[in-house]
Amino acid sequence: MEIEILLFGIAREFCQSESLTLPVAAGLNVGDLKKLLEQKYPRLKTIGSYMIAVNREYARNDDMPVSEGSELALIPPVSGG
Amino acid sequence: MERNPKNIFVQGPIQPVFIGERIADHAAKKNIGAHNIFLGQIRRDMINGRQVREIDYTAYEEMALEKMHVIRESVFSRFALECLHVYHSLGIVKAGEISLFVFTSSMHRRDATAACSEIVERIKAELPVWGREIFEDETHQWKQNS
Repeated sequence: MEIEILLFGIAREFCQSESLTLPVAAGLNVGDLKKLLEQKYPRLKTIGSYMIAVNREYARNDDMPVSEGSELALIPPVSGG
Repeated sequence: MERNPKNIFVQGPIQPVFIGERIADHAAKKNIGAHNIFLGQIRRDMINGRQVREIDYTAYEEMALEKMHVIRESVFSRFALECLHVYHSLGIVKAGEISLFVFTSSMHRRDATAACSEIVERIKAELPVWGREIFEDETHQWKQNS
């Protein structure tokens, strides 16, 4: 299946884009997604702790499944305010 | 999730006159005895010999508005607030300008004070908003909240 992930903050800089579209295996979870992203874009590893948001909620653990059509986002450490 | 959560974002800095006008807006609300206001100002920070000139704010807006709605509901359920308004800048805000305005109102001061403080902390910890610090020499780095 294909998934789209929105990029924010420093991740936009590293990947030179506001979003990425990736072909992935079905049954993917958040942990798999992070590994895949870091494989394709090793600079992402330097961000330290980033979160993945699935349908506008922070994914609290790596087991959380990712399905086609989910709204995904890579959330680097936030710095609002 | 509420279909149209309240928009908190404004383009550019929050002007002092705007803050005054929002205070004036509440004069007619007879149950308000106290306002608590937090203003976040861009500090002309010196970092490794470079001076911050401005911060460029970006956000995952749809998620930020939903998160803000959750924070708002949580705060209203625990504090006796008459009113709550939050404004956050997007885009360029220069050193000395205001980028965050949190405004709580209650009958008695304890609720407004406690709520305002909690909202500021939660915004800074949870909202998907990012500040890119731009230095006088045109280099930049991504802000880190404490």
